[in-house]
Amino acid sequence: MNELIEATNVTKNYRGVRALDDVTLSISENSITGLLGRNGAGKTTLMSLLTAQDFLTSGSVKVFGEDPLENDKVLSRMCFIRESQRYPNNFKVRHVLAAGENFYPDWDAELAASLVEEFRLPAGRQVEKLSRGMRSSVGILLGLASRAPITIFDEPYLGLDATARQQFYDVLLREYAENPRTIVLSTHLIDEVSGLLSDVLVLNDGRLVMAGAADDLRQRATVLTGKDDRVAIVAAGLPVLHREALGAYTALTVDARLDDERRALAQSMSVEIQPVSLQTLVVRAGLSETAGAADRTLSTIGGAR
Amino acid sequence: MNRSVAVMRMHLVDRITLFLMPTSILAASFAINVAVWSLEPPSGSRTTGAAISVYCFVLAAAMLCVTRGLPFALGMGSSRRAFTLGTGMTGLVLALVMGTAYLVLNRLEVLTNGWWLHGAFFELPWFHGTSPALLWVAFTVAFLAVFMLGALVAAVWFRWNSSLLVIGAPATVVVVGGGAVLLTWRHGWDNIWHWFGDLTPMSMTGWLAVATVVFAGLTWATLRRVRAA
Repeated sequence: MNELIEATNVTKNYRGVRALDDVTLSISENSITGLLGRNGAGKTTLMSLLTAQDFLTSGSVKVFGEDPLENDKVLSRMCFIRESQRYPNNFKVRHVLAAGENFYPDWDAELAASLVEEFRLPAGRQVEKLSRGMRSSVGILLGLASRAPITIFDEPYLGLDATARQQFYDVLLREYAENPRTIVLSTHLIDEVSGLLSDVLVLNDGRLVMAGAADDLRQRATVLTGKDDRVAIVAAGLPVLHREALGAYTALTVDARLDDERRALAQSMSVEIQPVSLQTLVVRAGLSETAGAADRTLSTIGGAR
Repeated sequence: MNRSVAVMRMHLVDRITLFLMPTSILAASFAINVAVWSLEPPSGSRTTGAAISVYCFVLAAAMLCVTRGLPFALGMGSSRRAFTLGTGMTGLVLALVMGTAYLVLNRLEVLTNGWWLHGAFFELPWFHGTSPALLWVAFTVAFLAVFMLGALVAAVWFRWNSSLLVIGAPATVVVVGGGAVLLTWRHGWDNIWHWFGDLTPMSMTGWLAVATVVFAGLTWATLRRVRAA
């Protein structure tokens, strides 16, 4: 697949604080990439650098093969909706739509109009006076209707109720199916979007700790539950992500898929095998760093993608 | 270029407010002056500086264009260069519209002999003898200069807002205060007042044109390294 976005050794310091530390990653064309990680992990910083809204301390970013900084050709094909996106204060919802149409040649006015209905947005109200959830809807609408070949959403669902979030996921998938494009989405609601994502990037403390196809990551780790000693036998030699003791029983998260031999062994020793959800995996990745298990999580799976 | 046009159209998307605001500001200050003129005995001075109100509006509009427009425009894939150009173009459009309106009102004022009340709102005594063409350029350039000043102030604010209060405010006091002390010490105030007194609409327009270019240059120098975060 064609790599649309390539970041190489990207480092960003803010007054002595290292927000991003030597991050190298690529995002391929027509993927839906989830950018995951804890608060302060560097997600927004990374997105700001990819869209040239902020300046690199060192490293390089290439989008469509070019440096996006002050590059109208590249930037006009990108749309970045921030979590706290600001709008000109006199702008009503319909003004935002009109402005969006000016900026994007492929702007889909029909989609915009239908989303205004679907999200129940008051076209004549000032955007800055809308509720948090409605402002999020305006951002989502803008990003989707822009039809920008690269659309980046920073936590787009803030303040949205479960129904509205489901609407967003549905529209996103529908839109993606009709007009494939590259979407980057930072989010904390990992389980909710898990099924949506084709690729996953996980940041922790400014470093890329996981990257790969969502399908690979979903099957990457395994939880073994059973008697202490038996679990230890089944898991022998496997990298441990997490250990939870429940009396004589242990729930052990290992960073591996079990081969048939181990599966048979587990079954014979009544050790239960469960795949680890993406959310749990990310949580473990966020915790293991502090537990000094950086090396294990640092290895990216799926090789050099 | 078409990205700059998109930025300009973004600034101008809410045309109604942009037109209504200065119109109502002007109408209100004009009405107050007319009321005062009709109450005063005819002997008193009927010159007013209230026409400056729309200049204040343009100053504020330019500041809002930058502080509120920039984060949105950058999100919409505009470069800093396209934003600066588009904002400057917006200032030019506003200045042309306002400058033309001021000239028309100035001509009406002359025709009606000060709105039948000998008032001087748009035709200040200082303008007497200036050709309408030069007056139009003078009004327009002054609007543009004010717009670019507003854009510059907002750009500086946007880029350095946190450190501005700590460093910028005391620094301004030192520079302005120090300059005042220096002028008093060197008995320079008379020269300053003379310089202002000698200004004609023509020379004033020239200086404002220079100021516009300087403000525009400084605005670009400030915005080209601005972070949108």
